[in-house]
Amino acid sequence: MSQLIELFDQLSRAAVAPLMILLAVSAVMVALVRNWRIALPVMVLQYLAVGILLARVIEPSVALIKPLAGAIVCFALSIAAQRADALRAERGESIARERLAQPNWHRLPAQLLLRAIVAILVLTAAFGAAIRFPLPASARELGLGAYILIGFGLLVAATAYESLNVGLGLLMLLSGFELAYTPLEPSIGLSVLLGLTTLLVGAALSYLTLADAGATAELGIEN
Amino acid sequence: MIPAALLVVTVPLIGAVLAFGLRRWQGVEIGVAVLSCIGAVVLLARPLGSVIPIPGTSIGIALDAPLDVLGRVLRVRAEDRIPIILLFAATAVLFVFSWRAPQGWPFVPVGLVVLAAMSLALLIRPFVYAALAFEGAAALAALMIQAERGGERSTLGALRYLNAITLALPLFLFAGWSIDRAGTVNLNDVEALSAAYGPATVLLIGGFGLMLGAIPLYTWVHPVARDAPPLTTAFLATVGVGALTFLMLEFWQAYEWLRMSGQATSALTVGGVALLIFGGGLAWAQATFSRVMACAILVEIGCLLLVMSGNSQLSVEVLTFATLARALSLGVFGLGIGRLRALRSSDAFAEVRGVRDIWTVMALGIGGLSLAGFPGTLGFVSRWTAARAYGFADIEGLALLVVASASIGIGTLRGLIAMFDAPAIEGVVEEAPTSSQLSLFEGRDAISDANDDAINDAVNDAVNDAVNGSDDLPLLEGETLIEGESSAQVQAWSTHQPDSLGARLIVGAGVAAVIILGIWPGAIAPVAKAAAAQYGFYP
Repeated sequence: MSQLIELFDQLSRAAVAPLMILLAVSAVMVALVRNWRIALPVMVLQYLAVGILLARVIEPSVALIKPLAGAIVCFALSIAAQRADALRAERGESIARERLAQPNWHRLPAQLLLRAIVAILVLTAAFGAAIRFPLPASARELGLGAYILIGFGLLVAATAYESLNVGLGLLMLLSGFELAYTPLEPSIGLSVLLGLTTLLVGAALSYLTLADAGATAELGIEN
Repeated sequence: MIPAALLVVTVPLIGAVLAFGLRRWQGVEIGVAVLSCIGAVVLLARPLGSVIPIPGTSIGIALDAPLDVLGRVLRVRAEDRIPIILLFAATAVLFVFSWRAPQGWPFVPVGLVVLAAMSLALLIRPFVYAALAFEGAAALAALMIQAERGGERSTLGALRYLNAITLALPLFLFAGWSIDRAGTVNLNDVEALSAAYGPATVLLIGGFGLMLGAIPLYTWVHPVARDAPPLTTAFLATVGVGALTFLMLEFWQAYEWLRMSGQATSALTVGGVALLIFGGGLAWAQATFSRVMACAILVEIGCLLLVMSGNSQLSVEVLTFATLARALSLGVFGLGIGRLRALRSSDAFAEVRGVRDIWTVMALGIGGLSLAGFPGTLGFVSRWTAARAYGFADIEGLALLVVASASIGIGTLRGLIAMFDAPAIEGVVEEAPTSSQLSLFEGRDAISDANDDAINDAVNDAVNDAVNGSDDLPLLEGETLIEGESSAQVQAWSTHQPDSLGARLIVGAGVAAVIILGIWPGAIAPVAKAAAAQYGFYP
């Protein structure tokens, strides 16, 4: 564990540009690609980037809570999504796997272009906001990261209707708030509570993901 | 010494674990949950500062001892005691109501955890951490809202609730930071006050508005009322909104600048009026009972905000009284909706035609009229004291309150009238009798020549049973067969919610409580007065 913390510490002292690129690319990908097989691994990487950025303002051992909580949430969500997909496939509804295995580049969904344009606008707005309205007590890169995640989190939560995608938006929103607020109150208590909140929201989203596919009835009691 | 704050949070958690383990036996599950609530109420009913010795040990339970958790202090304070008692009591009432009206497996165990999180929100200091407790509660409440339903787009209510609370979280956190940064300001200097605390005030108004469903007007209340089991909606509107109301009062108590700032009072008035117009304007025209319930909740919240803007001790009394009144009125109304959903899988007025079940009508009628503030019900007392607290000087505000309440009554009455309508029968086609049915009819005619009435009746019954399906069970009281439906289907529905003596007893007790407490509000009034006495800052 101590080696992991040490590695985290070293990464947090390294150049920030790759982390910002990772944050922006991951946020754009989650907004564009509404497929959990891509979005959830990307979210794990995003949590890692957020954790490393947090390690710049709080103890690396405390900052490690965020990627750990995020990874657990993504794991739970992937199990729920897999079960939901299996149920949909049984009913002959799921086309996600086929679409991923054999993408038809000539017939991309029309929404993709719209999402790409909105993503560019959100990214531009985040850059503008980071310069014009710098967040209090935080370094500029943390502010930019926070604005990117909050902007994309709102975008995804507002435009998606499936529980999993809305949930990814909410989780990004929470990560953004954490990046913005932690420099104001860099305490263990706050980080632990925010990590716990992420876990609880993740658990609720997993349940709702199952409900979307009609799998929650199995969890009831047979009297 | 064991701090009572620790027990207030852990007792419902332990109750939740036990209830979850015992969920197969619903009566035992509810019994355990109600006992947990009663345990917390008994503990908190002791005077502040008292120590309850634990027999056989040298330790005791200190009611106001602080508990330090990660640098945050949890403590039962004078102003927290009665609000938390009320939340536990309201929860116990709703759990009892759910005894013969199942609300999905999460209702009792997860409900207890949500209750613990909301109590934690009232006990924790600094205040901003209450938002984190509410976020945790919202995540769990999403399970209660969803219950065992599933399917495409079935999660809208749960997601809306979670979204609203998540969006409010950063507003509270940043408000806390802004308050810490403001420092000391002369409260008589309006400009300095506005500059120092203006951002915090705006953030707090936004945070509370989002959580209460007041900003924007159409957020979680309607989707939750539509999607969630009815008693879960009642739980969130009673315990969730109640905890938020008392948290607001604690902010008022702690921050003089918030009371001094006209901004917050104006926001309360504007929010209250907007919700009354929105809820009241929509209620009369709704086509489902759950939407009438949603409008009633909006009117209740609007009324709360208006009362709070009155800034008096009577306001606190009204808020306290309204919490229990809401639990009973919404609980009874929710019981009626639950019975309708069990009978017809819907609470839409068009779908419930012909359901002339007296118990359902009683629950919906008395619960709805109480929500409308009809004289002779508990809701009337709540509305009347609200009008007194708001002040009779603002005639427009009072008129709006009366019209909005009447609108809920009209919405309820429209639904009740629909229930007594005859079911619509379209496209009835008489089927030609089959050859076996014809031979039965011929046999009956031959026997009827015997001129013996008793034999004729018995044969007629036997032939009718044979032709119509002899395994059909008789309909329960209040059930009416609708076109295209066999009585076997009706029986299958009613097994979800047995129309047993217990179910009728619960409805009857709920209705009686709404009427008796409406006639004799003195049973609750002392609790409300005791709660108000803790807020010494009000005139």
